[in-house]
Amino acid sequence: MPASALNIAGLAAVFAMALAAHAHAATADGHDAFSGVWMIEHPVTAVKAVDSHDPPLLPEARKVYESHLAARRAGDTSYDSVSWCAGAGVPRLMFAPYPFELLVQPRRVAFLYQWNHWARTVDMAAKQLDVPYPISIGIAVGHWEGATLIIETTGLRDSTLLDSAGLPHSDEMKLTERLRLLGPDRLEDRITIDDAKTFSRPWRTAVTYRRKPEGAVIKEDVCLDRIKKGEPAIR
Amino acid sequence: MIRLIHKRVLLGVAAMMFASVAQAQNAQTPVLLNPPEHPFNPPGAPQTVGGGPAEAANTDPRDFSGVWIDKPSAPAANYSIGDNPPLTPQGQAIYDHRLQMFEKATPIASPHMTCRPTGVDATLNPHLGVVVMQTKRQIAFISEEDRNVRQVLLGKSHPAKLAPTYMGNSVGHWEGDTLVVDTVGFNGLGWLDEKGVPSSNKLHMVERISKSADGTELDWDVTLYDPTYFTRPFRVKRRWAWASGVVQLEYDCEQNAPNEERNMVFENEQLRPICAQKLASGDAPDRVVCSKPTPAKR
Repeated sequence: MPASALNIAGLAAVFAMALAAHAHAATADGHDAFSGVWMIEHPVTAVKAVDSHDPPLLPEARKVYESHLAARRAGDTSYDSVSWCAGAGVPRLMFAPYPFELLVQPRRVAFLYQWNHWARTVDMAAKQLDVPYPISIGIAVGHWEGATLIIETTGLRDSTLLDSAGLPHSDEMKLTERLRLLGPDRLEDRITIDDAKTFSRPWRTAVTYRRKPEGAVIKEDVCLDRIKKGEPAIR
Repeated sequence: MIRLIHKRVLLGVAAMMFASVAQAQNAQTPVLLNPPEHPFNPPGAPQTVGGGPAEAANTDPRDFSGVWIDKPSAPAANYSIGDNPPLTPQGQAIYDHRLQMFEKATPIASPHMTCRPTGVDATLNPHLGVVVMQTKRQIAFISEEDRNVRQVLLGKSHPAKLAPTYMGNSVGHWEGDTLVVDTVGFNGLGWLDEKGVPSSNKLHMVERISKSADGTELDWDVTLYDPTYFTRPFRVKRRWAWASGVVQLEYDCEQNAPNEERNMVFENEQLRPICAQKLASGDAPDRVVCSKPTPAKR
């Protein structure tokens, strides 16, 4: 084998090792920094776009949304399946004033939501997963872009709402979340909502979370037991 | 989807009871909708499905992370913690009543049937894939069925004051390569299996979990202590298999609550539903709104 070929092979091996080491380090950083118990800083009841504008609803979807707002003003939340403790789904679980725990491993990321003992896992090895039928938390795949965790979710069931005000969506919605640390104890989730059946264009919203102190745990929350005590299904 | 699951569970319990009681000559052989040997291919809508990227079992004896599925020792064995649990007279009376009511098609409502966290029953008898997440501080078992999310905090003690819960409070430590999990703080509503073995708030569960050398099996040696309902500690063995490529879906029990569908009887008022009305002939139950609206500011 000519010396130059050996050199190239050697360089490639060194380069591959350096890449692997870098990838490992980046993932390890992600583990340590993102894992923990988080609480939303400003709970969202009626989601707005990042520019504070209303979501760009198409006319039919706007009628649905306005009928929800009117019903709520009249004290009727029968349009909202969460009122009987059904799954709030995403992104609404990310907007609610209940803590969640993030567990980060190279192969999967898990969100353990306190609200009604929901969990969702994000597959970090898949680029795309089949959606057998739409579900409230959808089917999520993720990857890291530097220190940002990108989560793409499809397969979201249209019987859920985007927020407590009653913003609707279709089961063709695609969510892209970009989670990054704004500091050691602050986490941001920038969410792009792409749903051509409901909105005239993709739009973005953002929420921030504060890390709960060391020793914080997710408590057992049972919505059906809670509403029997006269408490709301979700705040 | 969820109603399918409940029917499957009932059929599973029925299969188990027919197998163990073996009294009805002309009883129809129940059909398991989700036989354990084909856990991911039930007829109708799947729950846990395959289709994810393959995942090699890892051989680190102290890393349980990945997806696992219970391997029952016999069909429907994971609907029961075992024959003849050593029940006290009080425990036996509850158990016998639950079995009789089931046979009369007026089953006693369990946490599982009423969309609560299922606790020990779901921990020892999972029927679908369980995702295990592991960090330095905890091992979390995330079951799709019942949304049984169980966090085992490593190297911690139970808090001095524990609010009783369906799941109990779990702490763990390593003894060699065996994970020892200690759970107390149960609320006494949980069933230990779907046949109806009762548990009290004095229940104490100790699990010893170890991994096979090739990384493809988890062996569970579980001891249940309950001075109210058991005359002596009761041991349960379980074996979980590595499940590559499994994708969890969801178990939205409350969206599909079948509470009134099967003439349930409530031995504890806490589990009586206030949200679901009697089903009409159609698929979807009519519902009453049972939660006050939260104020929405715009």
